[in-house]
Amino acid sequence: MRGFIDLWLDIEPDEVEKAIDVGHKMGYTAFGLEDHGFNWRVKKLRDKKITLVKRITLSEEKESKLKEKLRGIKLSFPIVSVKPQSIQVARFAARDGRVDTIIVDKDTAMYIDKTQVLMVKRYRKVLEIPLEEFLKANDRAKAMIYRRLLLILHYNTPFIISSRARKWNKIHHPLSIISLLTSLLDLDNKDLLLHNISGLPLEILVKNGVKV
Amino acid sequence: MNIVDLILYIVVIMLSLLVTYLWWSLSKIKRFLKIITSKSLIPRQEKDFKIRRRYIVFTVISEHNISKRELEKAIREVVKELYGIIGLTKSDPQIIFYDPSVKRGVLRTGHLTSNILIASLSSVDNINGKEVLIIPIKTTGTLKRAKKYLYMIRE
Repeated sequence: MRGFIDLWLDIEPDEVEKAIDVGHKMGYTAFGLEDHGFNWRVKKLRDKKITLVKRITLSEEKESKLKEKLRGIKLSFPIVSVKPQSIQVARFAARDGRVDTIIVDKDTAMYIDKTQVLMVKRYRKVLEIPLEEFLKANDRAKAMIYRRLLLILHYNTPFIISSRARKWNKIHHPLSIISLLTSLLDLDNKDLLLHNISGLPLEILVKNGVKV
Repeated sequence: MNIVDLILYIVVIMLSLLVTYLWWSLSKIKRFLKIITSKSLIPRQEKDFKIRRRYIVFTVISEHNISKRELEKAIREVVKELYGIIGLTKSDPQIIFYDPSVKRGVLRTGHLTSNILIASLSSVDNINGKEVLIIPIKTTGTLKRAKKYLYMIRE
């Protein structure tokens, strides 16, 4: 059976257990949990065969501050994501080896242009689209993200879909994600989207030394 | 060889070539006419318009008890929010069976719009202030099969 991976859950520690239960029912094998003071780096739940990985999302406007924050970050966080607040930070994040994903949401979509998309592809980075942020955004922001998605597909740049669920009931079923995106982007190729929620996130985890 | 004979030969060759060309083009026209007049196009069109039913088996995860009517209303609202009135009209989701004891049910829709419904199911997270999550389990073509899956898959 194909295991699905959601690399961004933004859940409080008391709700993690419930979220894992739900994720297990949906067929997820790994979750990336935003740091809320967890005392582990990678945690394996053997009874449910689920791997939990700690992640951090850095939101910066200045390149120098991001550089400072990135120093030694991989020791405590296997997955590092950047939410660029300026074009310089977006370009730097695409080049830097410690950054795994660059987030595309309503606040950062304006910095994702053709050059950025090509840079991400060239430096083998991955763009991350949080589904909850997309569904929550207003109409104009949704259209902006949609255009970025078309750009990403046009240049064949790798991207992953994460949920950024803040509660256990905000986790999306993998089938729902695929159905939503196929109808949104008029795609016939479901395998590509399957790769974006299972194969590509797995590659990121393996690259960072996490065994799933 | 006489000149008259030569001209005759050429004329005969030209005529035979012309006849061959005409025969070939006629067969082409015949084939074209056959496609136009054949009835094979009409059933295909009818087939496209015919909506085949799809049954989606789903499970509800919630600590609260939710009625069938509440559930259908919430699903319809989410479909309307995501795909608009046209999407809702096309998909027309109907809960035809819901068992509150196992919190599982069957939704009916068309074969062209099952994607819309599956996409919308995960977006239902709140019904009258109660936290819920709907997970699609299986899509089938008959109600009999759907009911089989309803009680077959247990966590």
